[in-house]
Formats: sequence, structure tokens, C-alpha cells
Amino acid sequence: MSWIVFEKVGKKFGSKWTIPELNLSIAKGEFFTLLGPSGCGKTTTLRLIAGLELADQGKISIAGKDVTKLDPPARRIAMVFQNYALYPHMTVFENISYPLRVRRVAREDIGKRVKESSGRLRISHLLERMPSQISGGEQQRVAVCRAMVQEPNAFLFDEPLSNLDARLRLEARRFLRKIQKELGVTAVYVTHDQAEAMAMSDRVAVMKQGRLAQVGTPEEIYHRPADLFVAGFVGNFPMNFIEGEAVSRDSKMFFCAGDFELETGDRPGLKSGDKLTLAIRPEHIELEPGANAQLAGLIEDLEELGSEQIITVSVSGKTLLARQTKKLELKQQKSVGLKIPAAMLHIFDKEGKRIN
Amino acid sequence: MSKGQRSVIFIFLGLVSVGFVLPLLWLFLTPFSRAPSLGLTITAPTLKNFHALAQARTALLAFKNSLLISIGSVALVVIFASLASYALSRSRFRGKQGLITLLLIFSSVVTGVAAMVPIYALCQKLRLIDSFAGVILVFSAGFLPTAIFILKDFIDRVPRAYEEAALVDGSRGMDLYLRIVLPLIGPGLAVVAVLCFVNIWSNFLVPFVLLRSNSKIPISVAIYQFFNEVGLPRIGLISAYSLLYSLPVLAVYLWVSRKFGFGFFGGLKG
Amino acid sequence: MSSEHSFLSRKAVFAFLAPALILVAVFLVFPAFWVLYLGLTDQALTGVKAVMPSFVGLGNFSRAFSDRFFYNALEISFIFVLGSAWLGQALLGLVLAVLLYELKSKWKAVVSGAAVLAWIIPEVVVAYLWIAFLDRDLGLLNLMLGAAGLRKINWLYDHPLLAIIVFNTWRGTAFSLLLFQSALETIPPSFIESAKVMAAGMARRFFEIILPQIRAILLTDLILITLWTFNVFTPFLLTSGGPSFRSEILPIYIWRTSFNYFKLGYGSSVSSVLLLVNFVFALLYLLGQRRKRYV
Repeated sequence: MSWIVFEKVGKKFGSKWTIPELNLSIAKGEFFTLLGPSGCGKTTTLRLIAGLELADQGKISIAGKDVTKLDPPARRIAMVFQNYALYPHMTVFENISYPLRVRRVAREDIGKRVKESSGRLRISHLLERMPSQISGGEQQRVAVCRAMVQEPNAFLFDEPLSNLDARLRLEARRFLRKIQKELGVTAVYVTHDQAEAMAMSDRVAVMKQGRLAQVGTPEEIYHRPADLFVAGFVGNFPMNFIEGEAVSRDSKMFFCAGDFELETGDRPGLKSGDKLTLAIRPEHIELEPGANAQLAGLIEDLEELGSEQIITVSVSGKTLLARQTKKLELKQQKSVGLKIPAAMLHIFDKEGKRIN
Repeated sequence: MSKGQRSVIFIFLGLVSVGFVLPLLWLFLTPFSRAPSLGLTITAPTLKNFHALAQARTALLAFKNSLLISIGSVALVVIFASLASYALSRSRFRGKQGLITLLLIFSSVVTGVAAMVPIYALCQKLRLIDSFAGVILVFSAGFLPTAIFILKDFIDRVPRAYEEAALVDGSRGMDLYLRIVLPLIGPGLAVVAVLCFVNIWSNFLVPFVLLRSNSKIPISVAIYQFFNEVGLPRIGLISAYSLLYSLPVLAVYLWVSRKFGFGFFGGLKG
Repeated sequence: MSSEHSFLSRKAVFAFLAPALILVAVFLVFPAFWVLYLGLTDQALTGVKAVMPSFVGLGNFSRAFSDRFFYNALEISFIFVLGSAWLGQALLGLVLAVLLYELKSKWKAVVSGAAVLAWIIPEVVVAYLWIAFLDRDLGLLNLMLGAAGLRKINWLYDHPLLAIIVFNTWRGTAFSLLLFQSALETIPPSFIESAKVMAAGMARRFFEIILPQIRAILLTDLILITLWTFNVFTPFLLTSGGPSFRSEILPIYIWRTSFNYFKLGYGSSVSSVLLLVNFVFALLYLLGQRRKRYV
């Protein structure tokens, strides 16, 4: 069921349309992430849901209600900020219960709800402390707890993990995800960290310059990126990009860039002579010592990580990065064969759009 | 915030703005008015009031006196304060901070008429009544603690490496101060000079109490006298004089706030 | 890192400090203590007692404490400080700062600009601006009242204390306004936004979120402007303390007894009291600042 809907929503700052026209539909109970580099409009979108910014055009609905012109309190959403916004002069309990006190919830109910939520988040022992007396990770959970007790239509997270160190971040990621699934509350999450987005989300919306580049499950985004930008942005290792063109030979389609040539497989949209960009993920390049190789290359550099090897190979004038988990006897300056299955090739036209 | 709330707030802010602006209008309209009076007179603009001002000998004399007193005090303050601040910054004796704090306390406590009573008696004993020297010395003493406080901070920020290099070359004390540090704290000196000037330029009480002769009074006392002299006050002249008198202060404020933001005015406007 | 070299010899340090310290000692420190002594004499500005004053012990002080004009000045000063500093400058400055903060509009510049002009223009000019403004027959205020069909009032004559309170509020609000504005800037915007999202209205946000954060600055502001307002002399230019001493704040009382009636000794005793009050406030300010460092 569509829980949060954006219909042709536009937002401008000054004379510039930061968000020209946005259409989104977020399902109930979904963990939906807005992903992109800084300035792409993801935080603005989140604030539009919250009501901290009002749309200049279009319609926003939450839980079936038109909230486009409504102030934040009427939208019944709970927001967790990057710096948690815990009030330093209130105890943890007072911080968590603040939204309930504002809405004049009965005292016994407040006590009950705080007790239950803080128990779930394992921070009940901190209730009488001041925010300055607890750690960063604990502060984060207090902020989440404050959002939880409100039983809102949706949680809105604005890069809530960026103030934590790397190890805490991994723990917190799993924790947040678990809580969200348990509670079944719709969550809209903003981050610039693609690994975070991939790990936590049901669906990801990749944004660039105020527009949606692609919306899909992490699997779809990773394996079928809709354009060059998404392909390059998502993934822990940099993609290999090669520019070239389509060449037809013996009724088969090839991608050619100088001496570099690969069979593209069956792609109906391709015509001979089209300018293309080829993208290959490093883990999809198989290093093949045998005769099955499609291409021959020379190992320029080799990094031994223990769990895998990162190999820089030069092939027909191009330099590619490959990841290899199979233990192979590889040495620098050694020639090696490469095999890249056609299905693993991502081909983009001259506008950067995917060709299937 | 509801639309209604927003409108009420805007109306309130509007009223407050008007409230602040209304008394100021006289200052900007009357000097150019053909029929200047205590009321707001809007006429075709004229410069005749400024002509009258240029003819008034007392006014011109008072202007010279204001300049003399202000610049004299600024010179004294800048020199004495920079010397003292240098010594305080580069020496190591315990209670440095305490001394500065003590000085600041004195300068904020010993102000106003209450301070002028013993200061007048003192000047009488020292035969400094009705003298520029008396006024300059009193002003300088009052501003020195603040000036030292500001300059010490500036000097603290100058890396000692420059002086150490000069030490190796054989320079000492006064040399280091004059040739190395002083040129480097130009902005600090400028700030002190400007703030000191503005304070003294605007001051009424000290010259009012310490000066007798009409030939020595600065602008602030001159305006007071123009207003209280026998017969009808010459409003046109007074308003033109007041406007010109205020301009340096306005100019300085714009300059300081553009460069440093508000912070400086905190402790200084006392 | 600090070097082991001392750039100035002990002699040089003393020499560098001497001019400033001597000047301050003579014209700032000495008077502060001498005034206590003077208060114990019958020093006068002219006449025999100017040249040969005699010691009168606590006579001046006891006379002051039984002088109804002294108590009048004290009372007027308290009302003046309460009205123009606390309820005037601080309250108005706070309200304006918060409203401008919440509103985030371009009007910020206009409001603070006008307030600042009122604050920096020299005191003599500002005083005459208000004499013109409040004039019974021609003043702008009465002109507007007349246009609204109301009676014209002789402000400086019939309501002198009210006039100087309003005047001083107008004069000094800019300081508090700017101080509070910078204090509000230190509050992370997410504090206010999170409160908004949690349905806290403007009043709640102010009392429960903003105020606790700026408590320290509020106190500092009150101490400073109380100190300044107790000592301000500008109202003298508006009313000279009259009519009939109805606007005679302490500074004007001191001026009258010392320089108008030439009773320097007596004036000194009252000055001592005021300087002592100043000293207390200065200490309070310092204590407040020191505490901030440990927060």
C-alpha cells in the first residue's frame, strides 16, 4: 500500500529549482533510502516529507492524507537528526518523553511507553542520565527511542550514523534495521554512504541534482544500474569504465575501443556505430590462465588482501581493475587471460542510459 | 507557525521598527530643512543650515577641540597600551591574567558621575582643570585596560619565532617591539584606535565636568550649550552640527562590523 | 611552543608597563579609593572648604542616609533600571531576537539596523532627538497623537520618569538584541526543528528549548546593562532630573550635590556608595564568566 506519495513535487530555493519534479511512492512498512552525493536533494526531499520545507508545487500524501500544506505536527512523523538533537538540559527520560508531553499524553501512558521502547533499545538503565554523560552510540539510540515512542506514521532518518565511528556504525546499522522490521513502521533514510544504503534498505532511490536516477531494490541497483551515474556511485570498488562504440561483425555485436574488443551478447537496442560506454564490475572479470580466455592482458599491479586479490591488468591498451577470490598463482608482469561474461557487461549509450 | 501567528509577529516587528526609526527622522530631515524646528519639517532641501554652521566660530573651534582631544587620547592609549601589552604578553610573571582582570574591573567600576567626583578633585589638586591635558589623561586612563586586553590578545597570536630570529641577530627589548611586533599588530592597533576614538568623540560628561573655557569645549558640550543658550536655540545650526557630529561614528560602526562582526562591542560600550 | 628566551629584561618589562600602569594608577585606581576618603571630609568646589577641608568622619554618610533626596534618587534609579534595563532593553531585546530568529526574514536588517543607529549615535545628539520628538507643541509624537484625535501631552514635564525610561530603552536595546542574536546562533538548528516536528509550538520552544540554552548569556546581559544603566548620565540632558526631582536618578543627584551645589565631600560619600554597587556587579559578572568556563 502506498504510504508516502510524492506527485510532481517541486521545490525551489531563490530562483533555482533544487527539486524540479519528483514522483515517489513509498510502501507501508518499507525501509526506503534516499541515496546520493551531497547536494543531490535527498535531505531536501526528507525535509519535504517532514514539513520542515513546504513544496512549491505538487502534492505530498502521507497515510492517504494530503499533507502538502500541513505543518510538521499535523503529519505525525518522527525525525532523527544527524546530531541527534538531544536537549542537553533534559535527562534522557525527559528527552524521550518530550514529544509525548507536548501532545499531553497521560503520565502513566508516558511512563509505560518510554519503559517499553527504552527496554527494546536496551537503554533503560540510562534514563536518569544527562545526554552529556552517555556515549555517542547510546545517544543515537536515545534519539531513535524518542522517535519510536511517538508511534508515528513514518520514521525519517537524516544520516543518523555519520557521527559514529566505523565499528559502531556497522552495529548500529544492523540494530536499526532489526528494530524497523520488528515495529513495521515505514522508514525513510537519507545517506551518502552507498554501502549503508545497500545493506539496510528494501528499496533505494538514487538521486542526482534533484532528480531520481533510479529507484529499485539494492539488487536491481547493483546489477542493473539504469545509467552511468548509478553504476559508478554504487558498489564498494570503482567500476571499470571504457568508452567505445558498437561494431557489428558476422551477425554478432561487439564493443570496440581501439584494440579492445568484447562480444556484447544480445542487446536489441544496439546499432552498429553507436557511441557507447562499457562498465564492468571488478569482481566480474575472471582471470583465466587457460585457453578459455577472451582477452590477453598483462598484470601491472597486484595487491594481496588475504581474502582476495586486487589486480590491475592492462588489456589492449586499457587498464582494468579486477578482484579475484580464487587463489591463483599470479605474479607481476605475467601475462594472463581474462574472461568477462557478456551478461556481466553494462552498456550505456552516449547519454549514459542503460542498454539492455 | 500558523499564518495568523506570522501576521501578528510581522505587525509587532513593524511597529517596533517604526518606533525605533521615528525619533531618528529629525536628525536626517531637519539639517536640510528651510524652516527647521523641533517638529519634523519637510521642505525642499537646502544647505543653508550648514552654511550657518560654517560661520559659527564656536562650532568650528569645538570641532578642532574634539579632534585634538580624541586624537591625543588615541595616541596616548595606542602607545601606552601596546607597550604594556607587549610586556605582558612576552613576560612570564604569575598573576598576569589577574592584573588584566583587575584593570578591567577598575575601568568598568570607575565610570560615570560617581567617578568624576574624585577625578575632579584630583585634577583640581594637579591643576589640570580646564586643560586639554587633564581631559586627555582621564580619557586615556579609562580606556587603557580595554586596550591592553585587546592588544595582548593580538600580540599573543604573533608567533615568537620572529622575535627569536631577531634575538639571534642581537636585537633587544625596544628594538623587538618597534621593528618586529608593532608592524605585525597593525589591525589590532587600528581596532583599538578606532574604538577609543569613537568612545571619546561621543563622550559628554568628562569634558562637561573638567573644562570651563568656551574655547576648549568639544562638540558634545558645544551642542549642549547651543541648546541651552539664552534665547531661542538655533535649531537649523544645531541639527546640521549634530548630523555631521554623528557621521564619523556611523562610518566607524559600518567598518568595524563589516570586518569583525559584533563581538567587539560587548565589553566596550560601558 | 614557548621559548626559554625572555625577550625583555626585567627592567624592560617594568619600563614597558610603567606608562600605562602609572596613568591607570593615578586616574583610575587612586580616585576609586580616594573617593572613600573624600567622603569623610567636607571638601567643597569653591570657598574656604576648597582649600582647607576638614575631616567630618561619617557625617556625610549619615547625612546622605537621612536625606530624602538621596532616597528619592535611589528609588528613582531602581525604577529606572527595572523599567528601562530589565523590562525595557533586556526583555525587548530578547523578544526581538527570538522573533527574528524564528521568522528568518529579511526584516532582520531593518529592525536591528534602526536599533543600532539609536545605540551608536552620540548621546548629546540622541538626547536632543528626543527633546524634539517629545516636544509638546511640535514634536512628532504629539503630532501623531493629535492626528489620531488624542490629547497632546507634555511628556518631559508631566511624565519625566516615564520619558527617560522609554528613552533609555530605545537607546540601549540594540546591545541586548545583538547579544541574544549571537547567542541564538549557537543553538544547533536541529534543536528547533526537532521541537517543531514534535509539535512544540512557539511558546513551548522558547521556554523549554531556547531559554535553557541561553540562560548564561541572559544573566550576563542583565548584569552588564544593570551596571551601565545605574551609571548612565544622558537623561540629565533630557530633564536635568526634574521637574521637582521626579526623574533624578542617582548620577544626576550626585552631579547636583557635587558640581551644582559644590559639595564635593558630600557628593563623594554618595559616589562611594554607587561605586561600591558597581563593584558588586562587576564581581558578579566575573563570577558568571568564570563559571561558564567549567560548563
